[in-house]
Amino acid sequence: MRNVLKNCDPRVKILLALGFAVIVALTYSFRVLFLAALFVLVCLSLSGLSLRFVLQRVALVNLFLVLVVFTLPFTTPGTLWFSIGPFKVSHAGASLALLVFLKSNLIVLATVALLYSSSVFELAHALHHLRVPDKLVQLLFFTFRYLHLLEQEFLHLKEAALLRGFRPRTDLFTYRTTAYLVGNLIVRSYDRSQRVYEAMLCRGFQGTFPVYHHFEGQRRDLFLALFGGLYLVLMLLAG
Amino acid sequence: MHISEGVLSAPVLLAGALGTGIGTFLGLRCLTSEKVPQVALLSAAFFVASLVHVPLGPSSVHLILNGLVGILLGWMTFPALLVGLFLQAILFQFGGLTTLGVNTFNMAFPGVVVYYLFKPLIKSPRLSVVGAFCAGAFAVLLAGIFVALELALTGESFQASAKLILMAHLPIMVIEGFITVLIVGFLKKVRPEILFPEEKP
Repeated sequence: MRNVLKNCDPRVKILLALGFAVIVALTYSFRVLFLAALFVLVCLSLSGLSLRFVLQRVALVNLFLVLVVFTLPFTTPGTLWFSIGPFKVSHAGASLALLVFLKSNLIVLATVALLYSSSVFELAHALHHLRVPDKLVQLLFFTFRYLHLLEQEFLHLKEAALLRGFRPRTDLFTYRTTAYLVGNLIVRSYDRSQRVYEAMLCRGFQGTFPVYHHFEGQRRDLFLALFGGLYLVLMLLAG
Repeated sequence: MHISEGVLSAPVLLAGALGTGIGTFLGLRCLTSEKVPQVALLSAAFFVASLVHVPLGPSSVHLILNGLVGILLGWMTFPALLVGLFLQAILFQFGGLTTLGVNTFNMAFPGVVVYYLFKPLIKSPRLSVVGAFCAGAFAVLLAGIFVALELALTGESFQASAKLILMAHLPIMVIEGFITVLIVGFLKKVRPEILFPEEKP
């Protein structure tokens, strides 16, 4: 039971995640958020991801939120709740801040639970079936394929610079060195893309990728789609 | 700066998604299947570059480089950044699914604007430095203005955070301008055909 979601059809998972995100992003009712929290709990327990991993992921999100959540209580007009010196906190502001905080975190948790259990390649394949334009899917596929490689390449360049005594500071020399490192990365990625394309042509590339594993809807996927979909409708009705 | 999920209001999210949809459509029309690996690898390179931190006084800022992407890719900036931001959303949870449209628009549209405004300047031998600086700085400034506007349009209570974000973009603007000048200079010396693909012999 622990990682049921992992084996589910990514097409269903993408649609569920998207529907959930849209509903939660647009709601202003705490009742819907309560239902959403239950949904997230079920998804997380079925995803087989460890709690620690999930918490690490969520911690990153709150970087942008900090700015918004901490200014909202002070800037929203409404009845006074309490005040710290010249700063007045209103009821409306505090509840709006809480709402934004919960919404944001719930969506991220649901996305992690539903999408992290599939590989990016599976997701790209699913997006193809969901009628995303072919060239966009190919772009996604290639970008992800070479992301890690280019990161390694950049780290090599940086390591070489550090070994030659480069120490980052706030000066023109540092900016110039960084710019040349990035410039080198661009040149290398350009050259690599030429080689990749030529290699693809040599192997008879005609503009589409053949796929070996096809999705077949199983009973499990039908259940997920049915129950997930009904639950989302319930959330819509509660709002 | 990526806007998180659950902050913006529905009309703003919808407008962003619509803008990105149109931009991506136009971008995909220029994108021939021959160019797919090239754009994808550049997109990956910019993803990596956005993880690079440069020191600024006691703290550090990370590179955005949406101006440079705009200069190199034109309308194809939209699909390239859409893919990059989608990956950031599902791999690092920066931004998210509902804000994908808005975030892509914020980064990509300034790139396209800069492409039309400053690419001719960059081509000319004498004003190249001015053009590159403006491209890098203006793209970041415009992105900051979009983020601030979207927050302000969502509700009056967000105006304080909108102002904070706009101010945070000002120092980044200058650094981006400098770095863009240096990268453009480097590419012009080392590999001009990357900057000006249409002049390839």
